[in-house]
Amino acid sequence: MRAKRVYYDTLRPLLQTRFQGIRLPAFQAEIGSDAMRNRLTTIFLVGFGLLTVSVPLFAHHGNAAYATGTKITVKGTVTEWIWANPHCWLKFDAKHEKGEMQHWIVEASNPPDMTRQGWAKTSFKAGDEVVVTMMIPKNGAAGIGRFISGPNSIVLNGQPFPSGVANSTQPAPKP
Amino acid sequence: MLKRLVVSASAMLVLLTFAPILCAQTDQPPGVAEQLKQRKWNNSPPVKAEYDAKKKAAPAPRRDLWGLWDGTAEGGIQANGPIEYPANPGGSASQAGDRPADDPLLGEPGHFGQPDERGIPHHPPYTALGEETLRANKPGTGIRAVPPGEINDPVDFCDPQGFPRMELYEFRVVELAQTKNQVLFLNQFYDNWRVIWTDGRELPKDPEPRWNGYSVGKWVDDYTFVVDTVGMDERTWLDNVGRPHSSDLHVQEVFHRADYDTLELSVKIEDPKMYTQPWMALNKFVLHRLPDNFDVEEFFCSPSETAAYNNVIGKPVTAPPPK
Repeated sequence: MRAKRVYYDTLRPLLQTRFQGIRLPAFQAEIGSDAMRNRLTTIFLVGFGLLTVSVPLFAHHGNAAYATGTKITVKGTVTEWIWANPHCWLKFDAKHEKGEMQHWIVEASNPPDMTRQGWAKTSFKAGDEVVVTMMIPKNGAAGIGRFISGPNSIVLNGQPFPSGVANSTQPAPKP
Repeated sequence: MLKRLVVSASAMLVLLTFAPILCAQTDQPPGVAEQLKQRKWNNSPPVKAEYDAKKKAAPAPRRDLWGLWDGTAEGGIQANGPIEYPANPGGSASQAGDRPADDPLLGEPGHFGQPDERGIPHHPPYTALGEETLRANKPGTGIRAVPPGEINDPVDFCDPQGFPRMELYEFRVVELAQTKNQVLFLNQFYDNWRVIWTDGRELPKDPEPRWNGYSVGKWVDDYTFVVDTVGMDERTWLDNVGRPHSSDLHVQEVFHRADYDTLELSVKIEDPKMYTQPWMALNKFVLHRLPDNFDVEEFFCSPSETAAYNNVIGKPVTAPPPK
């Protein structure tokens, strides 16, 4: 674990150089924690680079406020999923290593765009466990992110998401 | 040898040029299309590949625009400006607004959009007033994109997007209906509609401006319907990247029913106060016919939802970085 943290500490100045002016959140890097401690949420940096797998989901509000070259992954517990215009957003809570809580808000696109991706108003519910890969704001605003798309950018209750409306712990809404 | 190099370089160029479009067409996760097809309500339009795979369509019916038409598959969302005039260095209107990932200024505090449209492939022919008005409009996408809290796009506060922006931004599903005296244009985005009169009346001479203006249409042949519109409110933008218009704006739409499944739409912008010459915002843009039982998902602008979004996300991500 110590090695992993050293890795992150090495990476962070590089990121700072690449994205001058972005205040990268002071993540506590901890990888490979005890699976039994599943309430203990792990935040770790997975990488950075060009978001070649991301696709343009966001029509009205572009990504001007986000550092599109960044990519972080956070694990947490859903508190609310808001299906609304102009964008839907997911609220979840993640615990730092030392136990302090960070509330997260991660925005998606508008409901018709998300429907087309196979998402639904019932996709997430309070208590769901999620692992979300996202981009973060340039100004370093804490606890805010924007979903990026890609086959494994969201893991919901241990399953990859999105892969259709049925991929919730609830059954797909009846047509 | 040189020829080979040129060929492969051109192929690469073509590939790169269309990469964002290709990407947008294949953005549905596997299995989703099948699930969506089984739905009876809140339907999503097919992706372009599905339309392309269709067999040849039946001939167009005479003087008939009736039906549900989809602009989504051909890039009707036009986040970065109209198909023919995107305000995007990459030149793609369908790709959502973004700073290029290799932008040297990426992440520099206070740097978001640039004031003008330097660096885009071609510009609308602005007058001096047109350019000045453009600069005052702060869009959320395109090369001039600002962060959410600085956007002054009227649509951001749930003002109507009006006409012609309803065809130049978020042009998704539209239902066209014909009555004895009217063509009704029922637009999915923000659930609004407009009326095109076909009773032979003339356009108003000194119109009181309104969001969607005043439209009259006539069939110039059995498959071509031409609509003229004047009297648009100056508060609206022409597109999603802040192109302006004055109350002198005249828009001409040409709807051409190419075959049963295809309606082509051209949109000409004429506004001598803002532009030195007319320009074509859409040129034979293809709308695909949707099945008659397609249920259009609602897409309202709710002021309370919008305020919540602006408070919870827009303002925090726009605030200057803490010292």
